[in-house]
Amino acid sequence: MAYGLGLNGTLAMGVNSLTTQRIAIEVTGNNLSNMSTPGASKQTANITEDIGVNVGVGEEGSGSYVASITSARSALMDAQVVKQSSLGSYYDKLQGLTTSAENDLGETVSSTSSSDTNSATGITAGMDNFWGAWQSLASDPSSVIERNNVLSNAGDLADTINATYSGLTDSKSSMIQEAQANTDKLNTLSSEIASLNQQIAATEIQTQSTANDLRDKRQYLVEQMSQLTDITVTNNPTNSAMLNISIGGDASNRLLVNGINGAGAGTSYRLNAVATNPVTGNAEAANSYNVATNSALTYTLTTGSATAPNYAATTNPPNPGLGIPAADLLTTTNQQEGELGAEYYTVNTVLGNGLVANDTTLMGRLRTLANNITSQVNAIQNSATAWDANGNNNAGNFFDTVPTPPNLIQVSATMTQDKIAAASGATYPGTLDGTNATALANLSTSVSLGEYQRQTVSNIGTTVSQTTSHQTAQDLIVTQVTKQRDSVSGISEDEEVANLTTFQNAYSASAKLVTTLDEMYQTVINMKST
Amino acid sequence: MAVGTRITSNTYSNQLKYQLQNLQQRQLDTQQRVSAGMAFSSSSDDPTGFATAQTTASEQVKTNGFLKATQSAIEVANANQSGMTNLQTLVNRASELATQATGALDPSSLQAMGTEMNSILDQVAGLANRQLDGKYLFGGTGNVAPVVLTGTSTVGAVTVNTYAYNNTANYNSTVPTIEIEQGVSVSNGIVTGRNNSAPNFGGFLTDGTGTVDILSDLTSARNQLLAGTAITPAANQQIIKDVNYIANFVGVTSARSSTLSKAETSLNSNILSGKTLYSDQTGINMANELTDLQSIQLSYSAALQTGANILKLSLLDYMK
Repeated sequence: MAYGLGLNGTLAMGVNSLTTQRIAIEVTGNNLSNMSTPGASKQTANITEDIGVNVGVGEEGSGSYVASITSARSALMDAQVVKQSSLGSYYDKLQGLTTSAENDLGETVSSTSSSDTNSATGITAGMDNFWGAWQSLASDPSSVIERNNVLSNAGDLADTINATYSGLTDSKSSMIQEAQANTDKLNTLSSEIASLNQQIAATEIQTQSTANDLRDKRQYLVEQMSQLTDITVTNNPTNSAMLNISIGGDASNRLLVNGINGAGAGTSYRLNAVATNPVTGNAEAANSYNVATNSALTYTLTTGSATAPNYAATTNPPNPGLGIPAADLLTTTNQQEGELGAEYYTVNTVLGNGLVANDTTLMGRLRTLANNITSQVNAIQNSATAWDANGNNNAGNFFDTVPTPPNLIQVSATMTQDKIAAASGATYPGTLDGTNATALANLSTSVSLGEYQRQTVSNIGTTVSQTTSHQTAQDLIVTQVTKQRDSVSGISEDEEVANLTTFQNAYSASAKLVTTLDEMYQTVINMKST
Repeated sequence: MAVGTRITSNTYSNQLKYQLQNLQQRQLDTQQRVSAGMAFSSSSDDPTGFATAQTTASEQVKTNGFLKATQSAIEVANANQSGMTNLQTLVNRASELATQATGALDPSSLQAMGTEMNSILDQVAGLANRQLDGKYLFGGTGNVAPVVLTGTSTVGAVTVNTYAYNNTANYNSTVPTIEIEQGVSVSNGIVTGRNNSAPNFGGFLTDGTGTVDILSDLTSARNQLLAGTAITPAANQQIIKDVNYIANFVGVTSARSSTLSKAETSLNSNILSGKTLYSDQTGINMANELTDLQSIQLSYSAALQTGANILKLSLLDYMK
């Protein structure tokens, strides 16, 4: 004989089913409302069959219930997105910064080339025109007009070099400020993630379930963080609900987030972007760009509050002068990702400073070029066999050997048209001799001048071009991994609407079950009355 | 039934944004090339091509400078050649007079020839002091003083000019040097010479050693003729030697004009080839670029249209 669930049991099943479908509809509604929420993942109400009951002739199901609500997340794909986004934003930022440096250089080519002056812009054209002015002077060495033309072109060239250097200086200063703003942003994110760690851990202990929304929010912040720098994300060893985040691929040290600690609080580090003297490594006095020293960018890790970085707390040894242990100074090797990596690379490796020996950076090469022009022109202008229009030799330097900072090059204030040494000879050959002017014009073929500058332009052009290629490739990779991740975690409107219909139908059917049972109850009650 | 990657609501929009961004970038690059007519606007567009174009542009400036210098040198060379041709005419005439004056002529005829010889001498001195653009043409690189100084004296009853080579340090034997191509310089100019004050040096009026001195020879001949005295055979021979001496300078200046003219032609040709080369290096194939632009715009339009259609479709629209 079969017993079944009975009227009460079946009614309870109907009521449970209503609850189950309602929760499923609620989850679907939540998904629909978060379709455009950054970082949100698809949530699923996992509906399970309720326990079966042996009713004599076999086991009869007792309905369904929502066993859990889970978020569709793949740790592998999340990690991929974090990693690839970090590289993506590195190349995006690097492309922008290096293009800005290339623009600062201001080198163009003109559409025509048949003139005796170069109408393009930039230092190369300035040099062409300067050497061209010497060439014209060589043809007519006694001409005051040609002499003044040499001075005018020299002034233009010096102005172009100095303005270019100044433009690069301004850009570099902006990049350091941007890096400082980005480290602030990073520290804020560290702090927010540490706070979310705490909330997630507390919520999950309390509810004994996964804090899906808080985890989504934390993942979103982690991804934002990865766009700033190279981070390694691991579970906190003492509480797996919490994340530890370290910088520079070192999971055990340099923790920006250590469980509930972030942004320098407790056992975590705070990242600082510090303007430093490129020669001594010491922090600039006001920790801002110093034009005279042409600051470099250094990242340091410190403990302590945001307003008072605890430099003094890490003084063993004070290297290289910031009060930060060498181990806590970040170098290029671990700063090749994120916007901060791009800022570091552009400031220190692309732009450089030119204050240290053999500096092959953009600003270093510009400084070398200015020095080369000054020394090579002066050597010919001021030689013992060079004669000015007044018949004097050793007529003085054309360019100042020590220009007034921040200028890299300047025409000597004492240089006037009559002091230009156009003639050359053991004795004064007279006003119509232009052989010294010819020698100066022929500096155009010096490999350390025109060719050197063209190489500089080519270097930055190649850097930008390669970066653009990397950026294009990386953008594609980011798009692909994001698409893959979305295929797991993303919310589909069509799916949700279809689900909504299914759950709505199920809800209606469950309601019908309850109504039917109600009628059955009435029938039973009526039976008793009659 | 196997289903591919799950597509979500963000998939389309993300993909569309990425595709539109790429198409817009390509459209911008192509439009920039088309509007400027140049293959690149900065080094990063084509680092090697940009550097090559910069080198060509620099070389063009240099070559134009050589052309300008050569054209200026041609002006001087032509003036030199013209001066020597004039001088040759004058000295030839002087030689004719001297040859005639060696015969038996009456004093008045000789004096008449002396008057013409005097005029020739004045013209020769004037030619030696000839100027071009305010500079003494035959003054070397010193060039601040006339190369022949003028005085006066009387020969019999006639007042005549006397001429002497300028002995100041500002008149020297060097001539301007012009670079007509990289590493190739030519000396462009001739000097009168000096034979009366150390350092003596050779020129077209004197060889500086006393063997040839046209000024002195013509002055002697003039003075003899004005005095009604016949020219001696030795003096006549000396003037004939002067004629031969001048012929050499006519040849030298003519050859130099010719050399410079050829250099000018060559430089003009180089500039033209450089211009063509530069155009090849920097220019674009407009037809190709416009076709590309049209193709990109078509793709862009298609992406917009299909994207908009897909994005606006929703299952919701079909549910009542």
